[in-house]
Amino acid sequence: MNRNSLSALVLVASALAGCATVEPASVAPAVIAQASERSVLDLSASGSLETPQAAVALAMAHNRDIAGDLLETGIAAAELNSQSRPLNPVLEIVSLPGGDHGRVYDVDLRASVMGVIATPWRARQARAVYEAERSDAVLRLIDFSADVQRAWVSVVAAKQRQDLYARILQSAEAALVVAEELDTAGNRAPIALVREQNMLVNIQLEEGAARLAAEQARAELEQVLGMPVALEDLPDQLPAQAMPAAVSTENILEASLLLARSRAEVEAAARAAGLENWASLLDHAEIGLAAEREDREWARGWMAELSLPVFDQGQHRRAAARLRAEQALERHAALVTRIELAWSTASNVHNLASEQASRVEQDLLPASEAMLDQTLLHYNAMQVGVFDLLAAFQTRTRAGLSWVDAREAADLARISLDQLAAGGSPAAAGDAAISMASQSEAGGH
Amino acid sequence: MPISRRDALLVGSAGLAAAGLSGGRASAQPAPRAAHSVTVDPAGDYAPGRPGQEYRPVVTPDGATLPWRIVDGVKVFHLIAEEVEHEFAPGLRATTWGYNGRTHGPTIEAVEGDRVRIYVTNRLPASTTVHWHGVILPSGMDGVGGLNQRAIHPGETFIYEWTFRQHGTFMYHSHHDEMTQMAMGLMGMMVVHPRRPEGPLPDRDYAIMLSEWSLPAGASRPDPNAMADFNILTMNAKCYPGTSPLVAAQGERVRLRFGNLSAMDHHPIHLHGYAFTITETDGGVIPETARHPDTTVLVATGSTRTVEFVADNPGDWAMHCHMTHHVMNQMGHDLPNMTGVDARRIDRAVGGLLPSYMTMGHDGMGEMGAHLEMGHMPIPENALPMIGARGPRDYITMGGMFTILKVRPGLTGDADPGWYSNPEGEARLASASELTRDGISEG
Ligand SMILES: [Cu+2]
Repeated sequence: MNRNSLSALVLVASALAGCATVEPASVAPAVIAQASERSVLDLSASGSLETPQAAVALAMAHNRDIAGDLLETGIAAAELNSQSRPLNPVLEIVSLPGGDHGRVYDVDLRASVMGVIATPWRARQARAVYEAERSDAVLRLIDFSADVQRAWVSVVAAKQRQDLYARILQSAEAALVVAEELDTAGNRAPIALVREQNMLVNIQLEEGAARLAAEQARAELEQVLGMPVALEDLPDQLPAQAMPAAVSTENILEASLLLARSRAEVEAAARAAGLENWASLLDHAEIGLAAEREDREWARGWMAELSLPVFDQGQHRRAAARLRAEQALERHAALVTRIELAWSTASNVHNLASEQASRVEQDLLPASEAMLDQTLLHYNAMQVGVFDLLAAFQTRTRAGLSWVDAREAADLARISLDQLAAGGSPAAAGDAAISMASQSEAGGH
Repeated sequence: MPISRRDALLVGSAGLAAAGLSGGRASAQPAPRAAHSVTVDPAGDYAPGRPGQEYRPVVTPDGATLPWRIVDGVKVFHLIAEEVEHEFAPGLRATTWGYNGRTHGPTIEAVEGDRVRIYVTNRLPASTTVHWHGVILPSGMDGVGGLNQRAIHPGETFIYEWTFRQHGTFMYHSHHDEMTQMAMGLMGMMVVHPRRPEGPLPDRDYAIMLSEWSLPAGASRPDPNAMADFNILTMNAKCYPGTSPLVAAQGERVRLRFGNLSAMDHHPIHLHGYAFTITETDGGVIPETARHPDTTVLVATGSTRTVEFVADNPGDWAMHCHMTHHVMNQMGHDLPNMTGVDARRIDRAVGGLLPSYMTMGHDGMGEMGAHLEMGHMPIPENALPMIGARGPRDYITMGGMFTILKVRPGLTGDADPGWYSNPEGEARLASASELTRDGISEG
């Protein structure tokens, strides 16, 4: 093989590789744009804690983990660029003292056959890895955005509960004042005051638990935002109910980034299995030019190096590759099921929780308000006493707690649905929906 | 006025019973005699008694007298039991049961010796009967459902018929599912005038039915299931300030006939400004030797009491049940006792949560009526909580079984003469000089 033929080989390989390169620095912004497009979130907006969406933007600006993860895509791009070239040829020069006839030189220039011929395959694999990395980054952003929104909803709900418990505590304290006055006036036996004191302590404990829960939720939001958060910066009330995007299970499967990646893995595994048919045979095959200088004369020739399939004909590698392809198919099917289950769970939880929330809004809140109004009328008419009035006040405030519980549950489920619709991960969405549902079922608080 | 032969024998006597005469056995041993009061021959026929001739009609304040007509010498009445929209006092109405469009039913008035035929039509959703309380009559006319007759089903009309062989103050009421039907108001007064009155006739003759109701504030149908918590106490189904005053001219003889058909209570009715004589029960006239002066007459449930006095003391005189909870209206009974508490401290604590809150009852209930009257505090629709009405000199802190007897010189007619002016002065604030003069220290 002469110089020209070697150059031709390199040229062919480069052509086969497509020669496309990706600018690593441009990848992260593209990923953010892609995630924004999918989740209908303006991830580049200036953030605040006023709405869950604004909190996501704030988190994007502050969470260094996310920034670190995004750099991963640049690294993958660089890797892709490097893998898209044929393997460099190897030049081997051996120089030996040759006695009378001068030094003996042995010069080999050789290139791996697979390293050159398989460059397009290898480039395609590298692109698949890069695409997967990039898709993972989009997925990470979508899941992260859902996590931020969930943390935001939970902390606002916890803050609202804390405020409501403060009102309940206030009414229990007022009841104690009445009890003390009745006791001082000698109008009741001491047991009545003791009973009221006990009730107050119990409500103090409830109120303390609500403050603890708010603190925990605040700390979680802080963690996901990567910056300090004060409860005062958050709204006092959960926002008006937002409806999830109207999409079908098919849409969800289509949008799923994990599923797309799994599909790519299936294809890659199948390709790898096909490639293995040759690769297992040509595992070690090199061709090249050989030059030898002896007796001050250059002798030129060519060389070929080949591992002989005597002990191992590569059938085991081919079997493993086939199994890997099969495995990828199984994993893909399992993922479809997981996504479908997460979707139906979040849908059901969302429907039930929304129903609860509407019932609380349309029936319980007005009923408890009317109950307080009527009790006040009956108090004015001296049909009931001040304790009945304070009890009605507490009942109304506890109806507010029911509202927060139902609205929080509906909101968390809605975020999970939106997460799935944007192509987010089913595990995060499904787990959130289930844990939230069981929390509501337990009656919570 | 036709007088029978037997009547002639009785002229000048207090009646057969009072005379204790029965043939020639008087000298041996007192003959067994009936307790009820009679001035007629039990077997005699008498023409129907006419108002203004055989009797001076009774007045039922806030009530009415049942009209009648005479058919072949029989006084024919028609009672219609039905649902009624009743007002206990301004601001408090209820769907009750009654007769002839009113609760309680109109007063049935007759004269001893009258033959009466009373039709009872049942327009209620439930079966009913009418019992003639205190009246001596044939067993089949007594009106106890199941015992003396079958119940009158909705839509049916029954006839009751008998001759009054006694005089006195009686009552009528349902005797079928009494608990429900009397709690709903099915009752009325019945006055039978003596054919031959003894002593001076009253110038004013009033009939007053006492009863009690359970009507939660804001509700509009009495609760028959109540056994203890009655919150509306009435005279002729009115609670003060719904009761109309009784009036009399100074010097007039006044007769008050009380009947009590309360579910669970007796009522000691007290009249201010007078002592009176208790003259009759629903059993009959009390012999003069057994009468005593009194200012309070205990009217047990299921009985009538008649008192008389001469209205010689002009003025506005309270007359009321002396049980203090019976002169209240719809007050709740499970309230904490707020008397003597520091209202301002409680106002601060509760007012922080409910701005319209105001502590009540810390200085008693006296101010409540006035507070409500001023509209400071909204209360449930159709409720008459607490007590009282604006009086001529201050708020009158009375409710329930309370009315006012107004005695005026030269008064004619039944109209309310307005408030009395106290010409001899009235209780007032002591002046400093008076305090000093009499050595009274306020400190
Ligand atoms: Cu009484």
